[in-house]
Amino acid sequence: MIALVRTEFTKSLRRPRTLLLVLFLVGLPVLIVAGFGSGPPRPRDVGDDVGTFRLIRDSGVVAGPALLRRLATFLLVVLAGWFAGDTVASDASWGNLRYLLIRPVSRVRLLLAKTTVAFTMIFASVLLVTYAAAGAGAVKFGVAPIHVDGVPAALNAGIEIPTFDLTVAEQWLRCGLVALYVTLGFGAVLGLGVLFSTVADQPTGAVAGAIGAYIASGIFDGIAIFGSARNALPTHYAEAWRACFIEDRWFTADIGRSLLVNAAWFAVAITAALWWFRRKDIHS
Amino acid sequence: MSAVVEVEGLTKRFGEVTAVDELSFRVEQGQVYGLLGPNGAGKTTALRCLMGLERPSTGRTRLFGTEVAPGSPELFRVGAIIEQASFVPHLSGLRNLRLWWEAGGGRWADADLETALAVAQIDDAIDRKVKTYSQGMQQRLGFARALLGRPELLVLDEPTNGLDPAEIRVVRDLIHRLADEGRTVVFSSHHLSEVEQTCSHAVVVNHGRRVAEGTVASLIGGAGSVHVEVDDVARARAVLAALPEVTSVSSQGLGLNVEQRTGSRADLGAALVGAGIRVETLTTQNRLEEAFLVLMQATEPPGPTDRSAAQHGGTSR
Repeated sequence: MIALVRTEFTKSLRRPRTLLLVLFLVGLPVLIVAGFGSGPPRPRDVGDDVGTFRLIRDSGVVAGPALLRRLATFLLVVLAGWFAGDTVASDASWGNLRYLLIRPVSRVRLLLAKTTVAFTMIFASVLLVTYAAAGAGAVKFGVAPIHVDGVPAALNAGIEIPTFDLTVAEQWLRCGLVALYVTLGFGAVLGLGVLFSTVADQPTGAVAGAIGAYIASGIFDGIAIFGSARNALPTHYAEAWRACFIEDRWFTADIGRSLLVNAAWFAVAITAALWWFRRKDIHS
Repeated sequence: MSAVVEVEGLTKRFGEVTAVDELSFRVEQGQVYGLLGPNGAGKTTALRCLMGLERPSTGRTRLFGTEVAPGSPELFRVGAIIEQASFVPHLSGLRNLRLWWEAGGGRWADADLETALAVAQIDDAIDRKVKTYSQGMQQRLGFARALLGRPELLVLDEPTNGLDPAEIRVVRDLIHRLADEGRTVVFSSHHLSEVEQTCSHAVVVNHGRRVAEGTVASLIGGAGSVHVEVDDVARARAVLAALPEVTSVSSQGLGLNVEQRTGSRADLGAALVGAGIRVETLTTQNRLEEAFLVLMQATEPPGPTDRSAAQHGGTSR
């Protein structure tokens, strides 16, 4: 298994697109942060990221979660779908899959190794974006402990959010934590992408399928008539991680639900992928 | 002792289409065994089933006496080229070999890299990305990959596709050398001369079914024409025309072409010598190509189902 994971990593890391992706994931946040700084500070609003953006002036590290919220809704979804949909289908499109499987290699282990690599690449991408933004923010605005204003219960559906302070170390740590939460929140995308990848012979179909499923989840989630059924959608708790920067908490019930729902989607999709891949006739 | 390869009643269906139909053959150690048939005959599908890439609808395939399943340990004893030799395009030839070897659980130090590189003959290009290789280079690298594990069995599906005549000769010599070393080779092709020059035994497949099987010599000997050169052409013509197994006698150059329905060259020679005619040369004219065409004609006509089966059988998918 370790050998399989290592070989799959080598294949992934040595792709020219990986270098371009790294440049992009570092360059984009740096450019955005470089554009900050003009205009007066704005007061914190509940349910918006204006407050988080406002805090960037107090400590540039906050640029990490502030940008992550923006990028996690589309760009990072595309990347997650890309890495997941590429797992098996890219080898199939090169005609290399049959050569991997004429060795005494268990198909289950191969698929799990590829999934492990895809998960790691997604996590690395999210981390890179977050810390590139945090780093750029730190350079531009400096770093300092921040004081986050609370929100009275009257302004937040009867729930009071107390005021709290975050040390610089906590800010850096929470950047990594929210990157992990966002990545785990892509569990459904990862599982469905791998499943579609075992079915398709071209990565584009699998990638489009995974992204399409996530977008469809977002659309259903926005239709109130579906009521509590929306709680089972992978996008429903997609922003629960923000509590790590607007409340003094490392973990909330909604974060737990987000992880649980996505873990369930991932488990079902991966089980289906394994079932199909074990039985599949390999033509590519 | 069990055979190296056993295919028993192998049938592979794709929906309504039957690509391989009750195919059986057996390959013993040290044989160079040809799987001969036109495009779409089901050769590639049969070899995919043999390598555990496709599941038979019915029937069995065994390697070294063990039934084949995806990921079977016996696959460690096999090297293969299935259709085109394909690689990860953005990696070098050497890195492709190494990753493929290690992904299968092998230690790189145990791989027979020296032989592999000698076969590949791509010198410094081994460090170049595979996407810069010509088709011939990729195919040679495919041979290198197949030989990395010093395989006891080589399964080669149309291995000379994309190679020039000189490269084809190198491949032929290589196969002979491997056979001399006691290794077994299963070799599919629709190039008749290739099979004739390379294989000791062959099975002829058409529309997924076995049409004939045996030594290549016996397949050739079953039908066709013989060219004879004698000191008295006129008398020889009369003697040969009188033989019941001869269907026609015609002049060609200084000799005669004799079409035989049954029998062997030896029968013709004996008849001529018995009539007091000196025989200068007596050679088989038909070779495998004629025998093959006779066999193909005997197994036609294809119906609509057969035609679609042919499309599914050996074509790239």
